[in-house]
Amino acid sequence: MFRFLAIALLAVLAASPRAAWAREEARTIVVLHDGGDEASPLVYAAPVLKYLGLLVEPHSAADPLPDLAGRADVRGVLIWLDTGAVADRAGFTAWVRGATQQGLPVALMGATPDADDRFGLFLALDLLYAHDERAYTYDLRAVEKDTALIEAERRFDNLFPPVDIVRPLQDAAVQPLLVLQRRSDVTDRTMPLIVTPKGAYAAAGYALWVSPDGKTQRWMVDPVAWFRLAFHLDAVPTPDLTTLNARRILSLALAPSGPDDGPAAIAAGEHLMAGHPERSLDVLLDGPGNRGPVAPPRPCADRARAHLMGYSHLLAQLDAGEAPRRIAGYTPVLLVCEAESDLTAGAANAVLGHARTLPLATSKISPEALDIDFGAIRLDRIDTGVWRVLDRGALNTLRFDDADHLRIDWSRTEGVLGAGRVHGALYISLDPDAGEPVVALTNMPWEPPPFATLVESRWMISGLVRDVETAAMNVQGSGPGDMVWSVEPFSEWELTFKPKTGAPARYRAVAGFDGVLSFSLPASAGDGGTLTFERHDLAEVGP
Amino acid sequence: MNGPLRFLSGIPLMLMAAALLVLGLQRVVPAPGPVVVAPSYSDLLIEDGQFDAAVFWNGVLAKDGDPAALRRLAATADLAGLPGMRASALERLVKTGRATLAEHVETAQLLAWAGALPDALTVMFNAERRFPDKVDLSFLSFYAALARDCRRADVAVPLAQRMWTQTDNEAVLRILIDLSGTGR
Repeated sequence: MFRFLAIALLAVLAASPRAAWAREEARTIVVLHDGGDEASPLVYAAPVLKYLGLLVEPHSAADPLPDLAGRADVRGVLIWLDTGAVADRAGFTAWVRGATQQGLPVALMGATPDADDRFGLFLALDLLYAHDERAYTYDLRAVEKDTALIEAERRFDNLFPPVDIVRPLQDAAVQPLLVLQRRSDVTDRTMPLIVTPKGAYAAAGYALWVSPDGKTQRWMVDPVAWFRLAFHLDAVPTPDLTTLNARRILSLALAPSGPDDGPAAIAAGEHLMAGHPERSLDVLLDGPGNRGPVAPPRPCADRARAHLMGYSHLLAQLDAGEAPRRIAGYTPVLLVCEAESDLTAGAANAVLGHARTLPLATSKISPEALDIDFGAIRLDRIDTGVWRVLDRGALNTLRFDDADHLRIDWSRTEGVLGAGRVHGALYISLDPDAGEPVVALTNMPWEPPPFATLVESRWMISGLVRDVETAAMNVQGSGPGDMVWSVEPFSEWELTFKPKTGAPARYRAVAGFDGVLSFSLPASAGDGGTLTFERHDLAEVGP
Repeated sequence: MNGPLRFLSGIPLMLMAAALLVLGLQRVVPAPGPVVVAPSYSDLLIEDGQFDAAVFWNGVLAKDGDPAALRRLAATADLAGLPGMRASALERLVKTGRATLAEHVETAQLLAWAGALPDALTVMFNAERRFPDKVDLSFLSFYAALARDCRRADVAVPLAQRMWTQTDNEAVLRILIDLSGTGR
């Protein structure tokens, strides 16, 4: 009887290997706001949260507070109010306390909620709170400042917005980013930017600066680092739509600036493509969609600006999408106006000339193909440091931020081409042909990979089959095939590139002490092709 | 001989006639279509992210002390993150007598931040004189704190008394206790 039960149990476990351990990574952030679509958290925080792979679930503070009990998909709660108005003043503190007791970090930003029990509200975040009637701040000085995290886009210059008194309940385990003190009184201190084990607090005006006319905004904290700290995001895989094979995706597009400018946009596209079939260029007749940056700022009235300023600002915007963090692909949209269509060529030349100097990825994949249902992507944690990626659509990259100490554990990884590092982040390149790739990370010291692994590539690579001696794959992309692979140090390889149209070519490549193979294939993979690696230095072994 | 002289003396008259004709024609020509408001050079510089250049340009435009130009200079300096330049522009705006109460208070804050406490106190004094019916508790507490830090008991004490008579709640009591300090 026992033997029968054991066999039955084993059969069930074998039939459902995922169910044994798999737990979907919680990615939902419940966002409480007190405005409409223009509320600060939806305008400013939502793009950052999306960049971090999180899903925003907005709730108005004018409605009943959402029930969070039993919600396994919720990663944390962001309360960012513009006026502080809440409908449930009596129940607000209990709701926040319930969230923190459930283990959900709560980030409190903007205006202080108009809750009946404000002291209890801050206490739920392990903070002590007292209202400060002194509306002046000229006698405040910063006595502690985390310079790596604050003053990201604008300096305080000791001009601090009015702030209440907030201090930690216990000094241990809190991380104050800014400590202010009045005159020389060490007992008269406040911490307007602070992270605790229960969440984080940013006083109004300390996380984001908005100009009086509302047209300009600057982050006073590094928003990515801030939300990573607030929501305890350590080694979490992030679906990344900016990158292909560790390189920014290049995709230039034209769009009509008005309903009558469609023909002009098509004509400008044909003009730009003439003689350059390898160029990747889209004409977006329905408008820019999610692509950006969009230029010029004043289509149909841009001649003076174009002549006086040129396109340096557009190029600076594109550069800002790469550093200090890669937050956007290289996907500019040029608005075409029939009356000023001659300016489009100048703008396109500026962009393409700039793009030529950068390591970008060029392939048939477009941002629209990557405009996938972000919420549908499932990241199942199947073991410590191991995730299975499901329902990913055209997603080909997972990113791990601040991952200098992490690398791929190849013994437990499936369907992955390789990984490259950019600005401290690890970009994992998934094989487009892999159904449900598995990504495993380790913090063990680096050791040579057991086979050729991709570091970065300009072309798209798919269908990779490899072993210790060989690798074969499909390639597609415009321009030269710049690639970097990681192999065993001092190994020797023969590469065979067969474009779909054109003659095949063979190359010999030798890795140095760093095990890096870096090469550039001729620009003939616009219609696709194959690439094979064969190792030549392994000694023959007899029977 | 008189002929050429008569001709030369007629040249200015001819030029004036031509100018009047051109200007007159310009005045009667109707606008060809909808008026397009051209962006100012300052707007273009700001759009282009050249904030320092925009501050310089607006500084030139504000040389004659025009309040609108001074406001624009102050706003551009704010965008550029130049509080000293912003304070200077606002201080000039206050001196024109055309600044709002909020602009007075902001000027005083910037001056106080820069350590110019007596100047800040002067701005607050004039603000109260110009807007006697609009000052509130936060204004008075800032004003009184400045008077305390400038060691102007003759200003601070009456202010404290006024604050106490305006509202005797606990908040004011705390401010007064703070004011009783000696500027640690």
